Amino acid sequence: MKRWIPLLVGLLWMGSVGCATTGPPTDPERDPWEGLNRKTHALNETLDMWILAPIATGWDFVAPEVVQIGVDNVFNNLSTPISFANNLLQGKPVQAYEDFGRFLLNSSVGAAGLFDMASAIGIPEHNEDFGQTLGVWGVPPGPYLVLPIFGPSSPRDTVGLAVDAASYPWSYLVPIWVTTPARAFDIVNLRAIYLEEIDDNRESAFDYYVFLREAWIDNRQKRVLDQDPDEEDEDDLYYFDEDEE
Amino acid sequence: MTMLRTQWGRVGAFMLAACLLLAGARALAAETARGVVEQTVDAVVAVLKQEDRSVDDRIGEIEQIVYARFDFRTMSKLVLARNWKKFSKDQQAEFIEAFKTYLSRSYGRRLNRYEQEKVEITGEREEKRGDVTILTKIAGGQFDGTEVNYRMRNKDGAWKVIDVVIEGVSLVSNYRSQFKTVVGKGGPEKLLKQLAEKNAAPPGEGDDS
Repeated sequence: MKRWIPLLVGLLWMGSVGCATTGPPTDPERDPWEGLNRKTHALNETLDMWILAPIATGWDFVAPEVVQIGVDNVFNNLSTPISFANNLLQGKPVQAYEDFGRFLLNSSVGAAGLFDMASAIGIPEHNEDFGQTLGVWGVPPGPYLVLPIFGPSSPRDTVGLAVDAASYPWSYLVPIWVTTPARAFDIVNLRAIYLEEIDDNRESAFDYYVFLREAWIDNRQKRVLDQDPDEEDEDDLYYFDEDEE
Repeated sequence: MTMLRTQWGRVGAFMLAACLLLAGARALAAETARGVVEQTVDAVVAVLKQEDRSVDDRIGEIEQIVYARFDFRTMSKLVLARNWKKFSKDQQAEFIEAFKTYLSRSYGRRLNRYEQEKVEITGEREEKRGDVTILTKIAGGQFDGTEVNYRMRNKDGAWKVIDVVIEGVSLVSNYRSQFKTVVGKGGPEKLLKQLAEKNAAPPGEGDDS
């Protein structure tokens, strides 16, 4: 069974090439790997359409919103130690302390993470990861890179993903046949929560690939800095010359 | 998988957050940018809360208030950037109207999912050449904690929105990139055609599940 999977993925990828938008590269500076990225994006969209979205829709039908949020809270809580560690690595003791507090509070009073008590009393959430840590340490992201299944990323953030996966504390405490379905469930649940938003985005986008790319790059930059970036090309964005009124 | 979560969440919030925004019941020349945002957020939320009215009704009213507070002409120029000159005067006018309708429809459908969120104004920031960015945060609901910034420019004494930036993602910048692709491949006609098609399509799923 397992041997068929790479073949299937390869076929899907080649099949989706036909759907990939052809034409001159749109932004060689920002996205030098655009050709490859578009193909991977098309593959991801296909996988989503045929596998993830239907399962998520089924779950959405069965599970009321309260349950979906509860599940999201539990998994969110389980990732807090990673955010905690990365805040420390980034030299942000206050944020690390907040993450620690969130984890403690939500795990205990919040019934193993089911209830986000920490947010209820105003402790901010941080969601730091190793990709952001590398960014804080001065590592540039590198070109935009769409990963199969995982979606928008960059060379730096891919390394971050790998490190986060390796450092996920529960993988060492709980057998893999528990963590893998659990994480799959997390993904399905997340997808169910954002069913409408993603449909809306797809429908209203003129070029969904570009929409995702730009949104992801900009958001990522902000998350690394923890604040709005100083727009170097702000003049270009907001003040390009106008001849007429 | 915090990266996945935030990616979807923030991108998705792009839409809903942008409509908990801007409505100026009265446009007073002496108002500050912050005052404008405060006033209009209150007005929009007040309309949203009137659950006895139909959604279309409420969206209609909110649209009216929002139209008065967005500078669509400037936004259109910023969004098209160097491509603005490729559009004839007629095409420019057509684009401004079509873009306005498009934004209204794209964000209008999100109003269905309003869940009593509050918008808190958290600060303001002076930008170059007199622009002001008002920083707000959404409190409550699915997008609790989302930062939404409104960049305002003073034109003829009135403060108007020229960009909405959600969690670092600028509306102007994002659409500029998308439109650059479309115009690059098919010229102004292609973009106008796509805009018209999207505006003509029946509204997507409106009701919450």
